Amino acid sequence: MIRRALVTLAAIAGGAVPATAQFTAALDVGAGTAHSDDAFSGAVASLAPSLAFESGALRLNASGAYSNGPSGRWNFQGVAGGRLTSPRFGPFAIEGNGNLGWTWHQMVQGTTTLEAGVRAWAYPSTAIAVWAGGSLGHAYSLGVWRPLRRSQVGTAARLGPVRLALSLTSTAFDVVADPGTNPTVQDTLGAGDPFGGVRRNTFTDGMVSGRLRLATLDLELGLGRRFSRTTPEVTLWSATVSRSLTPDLALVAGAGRSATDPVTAVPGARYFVLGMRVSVRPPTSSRPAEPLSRHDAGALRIGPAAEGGREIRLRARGAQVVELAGDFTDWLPLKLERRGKEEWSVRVAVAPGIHRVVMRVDGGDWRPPPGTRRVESEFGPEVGEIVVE
Amino acid sequence: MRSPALLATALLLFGPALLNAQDRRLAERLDPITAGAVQHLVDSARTARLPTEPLVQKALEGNTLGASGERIRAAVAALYGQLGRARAALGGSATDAEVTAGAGAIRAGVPADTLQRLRTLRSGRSLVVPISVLTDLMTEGTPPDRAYRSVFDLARDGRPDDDFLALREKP
Repeated sequence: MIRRALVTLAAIAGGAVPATAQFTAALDVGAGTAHSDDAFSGAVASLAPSLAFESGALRLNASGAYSNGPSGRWNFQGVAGGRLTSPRFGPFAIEGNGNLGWTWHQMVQGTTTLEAGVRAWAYPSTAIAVWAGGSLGHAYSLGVWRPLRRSQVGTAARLGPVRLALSLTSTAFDVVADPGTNPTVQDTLGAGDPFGGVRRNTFTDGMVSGRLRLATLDLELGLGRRFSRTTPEVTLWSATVSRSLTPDLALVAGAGRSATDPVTAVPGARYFVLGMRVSVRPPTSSRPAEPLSRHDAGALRIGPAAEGGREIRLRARGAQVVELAGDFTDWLPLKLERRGKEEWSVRVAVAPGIHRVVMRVDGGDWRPPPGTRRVESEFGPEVGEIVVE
Repeated sequence: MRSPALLATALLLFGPALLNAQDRRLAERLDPITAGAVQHLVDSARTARLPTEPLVQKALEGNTLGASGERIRAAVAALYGQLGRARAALGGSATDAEVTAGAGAIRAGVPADTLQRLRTLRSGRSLVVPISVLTDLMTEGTPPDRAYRSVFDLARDGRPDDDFLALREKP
């Protein structure tokens, strides 16, 4: 049901964008436990949808996380943003980005944030990227807009299937608006300062993260530390592992320690969540047609390498002569032997790799054998293509 | 003294023939004009360190499929050009199988710089399957940007060949 909804959504969105663009959607559904720093602790259920659209240098994304905790306490955090990357100038590129974020807590809207920034990228080698950037924005809550500034430096490297990243993100967030322009807050502070005298919250998060992607396993690890004089310092870590069950479905487990976000007031927590991830790409008519199954009754089948070559078998009903030709026969016709009423076979040396092949029955036209991939030939008729492992 | 003299004589007599040995398959199955033209391209390919067997196989394929000599010569000449561009894009260390796959990709409309980028992203590992899958995606009408991105993503992540093959089998 959920997958069908996502497919429909992706198809609608996919149909509205240029043919060269790509639209993807995913939904994480999970359950686990969370021990919040200054709110609830206990079992939680979560839903986390995400959408992404990419076309050339433009990338748009939206994601959210809804969690339902004890006593019906719920929380939703969402963010929508985009980035536009310039063409490369030698080893350099510039990125412009913007984000709109919002949070809702049980019964009340929390914080809305708007940020825009730039980031400079350098690629000293094909496996290493370095960036530095900054952003300016505002956060709106309790009827007040408050300034927000971030600066960031980082680097990422790729070592075979492993990606490593190191980042330092420094955030400065005015706890109160400029007193001269916001008498409401000034009045509130005058009645008793709820912020303990702190006017600006500054903190720096340093993170080292790694990602290992294997055939069906995706492991992400992160370790870091928050440094601050105005908000609690804490060691941060996260571990997420996902195991693909099908191309579109994965089992996901995550655990970690997150820090309180002073901007949105979402408390930090220790958490463990187990769930499923449904990923969807829109159906496209331009995808290649599903090839015939290797187990099709009439399909050409190739046996394992053996003395005397590999056995090639196929079915041809009512045939008197069946011949095969391909690059592994120097395109010389090779007669198959009848093995039963409709079964034909031959042994021939076929090296591992991709081969072109055709067959003909009773001296007729050459054509691709059933079960092979049809590819065009410069000489008119299509030929078959097989992959021998 | 006797051995060097014999060697010199042998080279003098058989050297040119050894260097430009006629492929019997071509001589036996193609008309003389076509066989000579294809053989000339095969010799040029050998000098240029291009794989030669695909040229021979292309000619033999045309022969089996009943193509005219003119059509065979045109197809082999076109393949020769594609092999050269693939070699230039993939570099001198590329295997013959990679260059051959690259030629197929260029024929399908894949730009040479796309092959270069794939080489960079998947350095040290075979490109035969990634390039073949990219060619298939292009041939089947997948929008080029999407085809490139799909293959680049897998190459960047160091995925195995099976993951590339799965790309063309996805509905």
